[in-house]
Amino acid sequence: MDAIDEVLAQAQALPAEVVAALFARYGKPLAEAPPPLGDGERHLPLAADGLAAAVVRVVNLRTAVDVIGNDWFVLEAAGAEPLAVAGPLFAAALAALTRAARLAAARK
Amino acid sequence: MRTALLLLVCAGCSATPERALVAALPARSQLHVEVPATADAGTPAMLYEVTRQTSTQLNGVVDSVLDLVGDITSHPPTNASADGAEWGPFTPPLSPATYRLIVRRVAPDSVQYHLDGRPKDTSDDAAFQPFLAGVSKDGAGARAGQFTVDAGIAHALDPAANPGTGGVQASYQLEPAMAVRLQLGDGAVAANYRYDQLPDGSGDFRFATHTNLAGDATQLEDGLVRTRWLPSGAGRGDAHVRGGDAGATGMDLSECWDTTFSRTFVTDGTNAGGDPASCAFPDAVFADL
Repeated sequence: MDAIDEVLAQAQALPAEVVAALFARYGKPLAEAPPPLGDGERHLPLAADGLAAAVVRVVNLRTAVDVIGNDWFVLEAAGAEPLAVAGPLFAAALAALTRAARLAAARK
Repeated sequence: MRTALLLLVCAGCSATPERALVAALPARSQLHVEVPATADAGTPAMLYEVTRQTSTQLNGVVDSVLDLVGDITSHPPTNASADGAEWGPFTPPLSPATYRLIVRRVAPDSVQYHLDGRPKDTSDDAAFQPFLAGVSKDGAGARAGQFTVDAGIAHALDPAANPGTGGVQASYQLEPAMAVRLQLGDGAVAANYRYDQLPDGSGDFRFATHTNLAGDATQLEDGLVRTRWLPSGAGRGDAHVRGGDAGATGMDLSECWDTTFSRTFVTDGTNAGGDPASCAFPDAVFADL
């Protein structure tokens, strides 16, 4: 399991609303729409009440502020503009939530 | 013999396993925009001076981020292994916030780090939010990385220590050539900076500024500036200038300087002074941020 698989697995273990809230908190619109999701491309479908058909995917982008291509996690939801979070920030936010959930479960 | 054996045994281990992780993180000086300078400069060319001032401000922003991480990692970690280290939770004196820094090797050539904060008056681990996160790739011959700062979170945690609320998005490459891209602010007020440095010391710096670039010093203009320089310090700046004395239609300003940073040529498209043949770079090249 590489770092991206690990992040997607952490996201999958959290409620979809929480993952969507992370994008709402940290996400930024992309200057250009990412290419359509390719066959076999890693992604995580999100399903929750009040959340239109949505998917989290990883896009390697070279934006105006990227020297080289960097990984961005992108939330694509029907009828909404895609939101992107820089890979390390998304991984850090998920790690913080996962850790807190683990500690809370251990206390029970 | 016993000493030799101990040295041999310890050749592959470290008493402080976090050192290798910390070494993968960027140091402040590695990401500096290095504009040539000399103590005996007379009256420097205007675009050279604007470039110096901007580089100093930008280096200060980078320093404030990397010093924060550097200060924390200069202390022994709370937990450490070969693949991860953690500092904190700790509460700086007088601070209303508690922080922790987590550094983790996520691939043989990749180290991720994040600085999380929460109000100190809660012990709820779920209250930690990352406000600085980055990745550093330290593979042979390809050192690069990126980091993001969400100053809004840092401000909410400790407004006195973190008065700004914008953000910092940085991407850099240290090898084979050095390049830094920075975005300060958010949304419509974001400003981009691009810096490329060759091993010989020559540089290329693109940035936006709001300062006096024409006419009356009390009238400030918006400038989109590209400055290039040789290892000798001789260089050239080209700027699209709008507003202030340049008016709504604006003007294109070019200026060249010698190794003492004194102006040797200037033109605003209408008027010109000096010798264009003196320019270290003969052709105007404007920023494309």
